[in-house]
Amino acid sequence: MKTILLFLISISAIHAQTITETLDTYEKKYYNIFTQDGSTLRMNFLKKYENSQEDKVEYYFTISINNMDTESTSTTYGGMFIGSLLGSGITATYQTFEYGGAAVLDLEGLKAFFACANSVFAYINSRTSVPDAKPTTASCSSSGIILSGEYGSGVSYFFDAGDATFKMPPDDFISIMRTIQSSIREWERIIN
Amino acid sequence: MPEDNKPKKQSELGTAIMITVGIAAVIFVIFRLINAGSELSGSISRNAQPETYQVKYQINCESCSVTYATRSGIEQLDNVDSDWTYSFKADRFTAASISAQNNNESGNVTAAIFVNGKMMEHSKSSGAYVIASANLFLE
Repeated sequence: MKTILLFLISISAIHAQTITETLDTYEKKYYNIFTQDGSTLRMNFLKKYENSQEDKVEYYFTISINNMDTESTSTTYGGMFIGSLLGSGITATYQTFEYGGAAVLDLEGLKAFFACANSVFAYINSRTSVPDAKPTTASCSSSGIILSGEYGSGVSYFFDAGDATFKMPPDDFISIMRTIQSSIREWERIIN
Repeated sequence: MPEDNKPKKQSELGTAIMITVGIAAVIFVIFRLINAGSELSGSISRNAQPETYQVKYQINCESCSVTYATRSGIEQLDNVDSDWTYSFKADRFTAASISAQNNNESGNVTAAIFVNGKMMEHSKSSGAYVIASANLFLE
């Protein structure tokens, strides 16, 4: 079920406000496998518009990593962070900042990212149905983010962006793919 | 004195047994309710989503190279021509993926994924060596 969060980001105007709604989201805390630092990985499908011009709506999909430790701080930071990101528009590739990094994707960029994730998942998942499959890895890069899968004694997936590398179980990778796919479908439904 | 205490002890014992039986009954009821809830949600989940899908890839091109995901891995074909199809059964939480690259300097390439007979993803590209791809995660 989609939870719609509404938060305001005042940028400059006296009367106009930029409103950003989160239409779909994935969020989870991971530990960098090399530094053991905790970070929050967020993926948000966002709708942005001026309250005085609701017909001018823009959509973005953001992938961000927040290295801040405390949840309360990171929540506030996340909102401000997304606001500042959207102010600069589509980044296409992942950019690092002092406290993390982010990529702001348009629909085509998101489709490319999904295709990348899908191809990694397709291959690694297929290993589980092949008798005596040898340990193997598969990876793909999109928008400056490297997605990898590893099949061996078990199955793991990796998310690598900037200086962060997260290891995640298949369920998390599936959740990410479902979030992206549902965002793509909703995005296409809106624009068509 | 011991004779006076006997009925009192029996009464306390009876009370303790009743409390124990009562607690056991409450635990049993809660356990059944929890199990009933999980069975119910499980059946709804199973009914809502099929366990397997019939997936079909379809490519249309004059001459193209095709890369596609199957149950056992990724396959590639160098020279595919018009109306190529490939079908397989896929479990839930499987990735379906197909892409085709035009081998010519002009013309169209289309790639599509059908699930249980319904087209779910479709892509068309035109021009020299263009790629058409379709990706679907089966939920």
